[in-house]
Amino acid sequence: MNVLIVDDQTFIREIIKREFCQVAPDTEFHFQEADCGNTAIKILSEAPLNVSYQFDLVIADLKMENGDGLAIINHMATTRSREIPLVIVSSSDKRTLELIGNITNSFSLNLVGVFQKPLDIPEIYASVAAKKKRTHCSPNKHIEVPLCNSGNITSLLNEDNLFLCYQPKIEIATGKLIGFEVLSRLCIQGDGFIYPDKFIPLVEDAGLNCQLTKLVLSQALSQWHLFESLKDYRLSINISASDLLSDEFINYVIDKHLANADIKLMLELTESQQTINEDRSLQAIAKFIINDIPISLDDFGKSYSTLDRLDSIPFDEIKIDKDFVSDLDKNHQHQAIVESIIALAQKLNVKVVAEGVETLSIQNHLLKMGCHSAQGYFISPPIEGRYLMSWINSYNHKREQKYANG
Amino acid sequence: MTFTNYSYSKGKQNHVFSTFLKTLRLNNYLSQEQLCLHLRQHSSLFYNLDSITVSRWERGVNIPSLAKQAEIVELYDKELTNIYRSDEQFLEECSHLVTASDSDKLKSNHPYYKNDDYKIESIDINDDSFYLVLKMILRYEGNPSLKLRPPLGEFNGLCDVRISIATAYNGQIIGHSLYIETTAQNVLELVNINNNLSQIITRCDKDGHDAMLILSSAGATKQVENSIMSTYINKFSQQKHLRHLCFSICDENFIKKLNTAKLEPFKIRNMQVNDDTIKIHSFLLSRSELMANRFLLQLAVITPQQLVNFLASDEKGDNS
Repeated sequence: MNVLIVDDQTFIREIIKREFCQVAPDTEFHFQEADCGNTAIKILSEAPLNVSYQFDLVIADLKMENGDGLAIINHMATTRSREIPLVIVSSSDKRTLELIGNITNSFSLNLVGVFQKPLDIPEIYASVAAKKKRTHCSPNKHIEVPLCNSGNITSLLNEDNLFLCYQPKIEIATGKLIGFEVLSRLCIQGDGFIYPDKFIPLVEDAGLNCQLTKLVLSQALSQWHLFESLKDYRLSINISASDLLSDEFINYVIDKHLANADIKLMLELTESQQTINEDRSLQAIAKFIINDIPISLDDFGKSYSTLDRLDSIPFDEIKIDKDFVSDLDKNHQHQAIVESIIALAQKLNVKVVAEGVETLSIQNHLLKMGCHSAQGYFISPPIEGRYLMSWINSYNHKREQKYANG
Repeated sequence: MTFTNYSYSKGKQNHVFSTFLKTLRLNNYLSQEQLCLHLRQHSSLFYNLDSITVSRWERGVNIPSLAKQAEIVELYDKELTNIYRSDEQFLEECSHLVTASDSDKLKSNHPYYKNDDYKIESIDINDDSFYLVLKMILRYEGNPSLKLRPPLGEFNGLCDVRISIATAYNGQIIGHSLYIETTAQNVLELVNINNNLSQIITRCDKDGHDAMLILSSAGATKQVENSIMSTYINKFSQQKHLRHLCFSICDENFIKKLNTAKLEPFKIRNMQVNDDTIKIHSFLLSRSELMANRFLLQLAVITPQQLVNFLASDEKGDNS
């Protein structure tokens, strides 16, 4: 086994070498050492192409003079060394190690793990061995073409295959039902439901967003016309930032809204890395707001420059991303983030909706934190149109009983 | 593998849904236009439907997705499972799921069992073997969130726990499932919090059950696996108040099976047990979603009696 050990302290390198030989006495080790990142990079790039000379493992420290661990990670990510199993060792705190782990994984490097010093060599070796076993087990995995792919999305996206579900939003303090977010699924013949996380990227790549939003809007509005009492509740439709660049689309939505004035429509604008602060997008948003279509900022906190958006656009509500909400009773960091979003929203006089509320404990936390409204599986999973009225009746009935009993 | 054709371009035999739709329309003295209007007035899925499409459905030129079929069928107070059960061709496909073809004969992951006859039975707290089987299942699944403490005998709530087992000769167990009926909120508590099974069971009040939760499901062969699955999926489909079918499992074989059936986990939770990380996969399906999945619909169609018949005819086939 060829191992490259990169650490600026000689005694650490010695410990690793000695203990590896002790942990796996039957394995023949060939160690090479480097005392800084730059030397390691030189060794890696000069390693002969011949299989028997290639490294089976790189163990690298993070903090070093002359090229640190990140330099090694960057080098490996862009060269043939990408495949080599990598162990990161460091005396940094746990959160920094987590960050390093995420960076390494985002480069799709073959990361064995990030280990804190003092090192537990048997543990490291066990992880290396386990990783090796796993990659040996699945060498030629059968890759299936997904049901929905870039080749067929254009033909699949039509009203025959579109199946909408509606997820309720409630006011936390009173339990009052305030509205529904429309969620789309594709149903093709007998293959179950295909969820947005699978087809939305394809729809975006194919430039079909506006078409999808129009289909969703039509089906959802017709659902709201089926029952007069649905009109008490706000109907929220997702749009993406790129939808805002089409004048034709904007006019379509406004015309639909004017033609269905008895339905309270709201648009949930998904944050994306794409800047929506362009003049055209801002104009489009202004046009919606002038026409009494409130805008909600979806997935708040998930991407980068959200604060200046809040500053420049009079959003009606912001929705806190479910990743921050679903574990806030256990994750103090997430709790802190949610708390400050709520405080910020209150100061800016914007309503806050917490998404991803899955347990009573989370909902109680949010209530204490002063969050206005909630959405999530705890209140209800998304509901199919045909069950919507019976769900609403049963929910309102239970709520009345609760209040009657004090 | 066999598939139901979703379109019969040559029109040799009518699709079961086409026949249903046509019969329904004629029994209610409706024209295609009237049926079309009726659907438009009662479901937003058909807001744009025209009578040409209805005519194509009736002739089997094309057929709506299973999800939309379920919507239409239920609008007229019928059940999709009942309609498909009346179709011989579909039933035959169902029977293939639980009876072995020649190529499958020797694929068993059980040391002693090789496609011998077996029977499936449900057991509950009144059976002598209940505690023993429950312990065996909990050990098999190895799900750290399924711990039962204090010892089994002290839970009166266990009467809600359902177990079905497949047994071959000498009562040897070659397949099992463990499930309870509960509320969707209870299921989410289990998925999110370190609740153990006993807490979930204790909280299972009698009223308002809207979900079935499957905690373990396995079989020595693909066929036994399917037979076992059909017992609870059929039971789920028969009870209309159950809106959600949930799996909370960590058996890798079964997870793979659900993935092959095109189901995706709603949540994966990691739990540390000693030095191992156990991944508990949770799947949450709505009723429509189950009906929309051909494989699950096939399992839902198989009633316990039909299962007995299928297994019996398989046995005969072997002897001849």
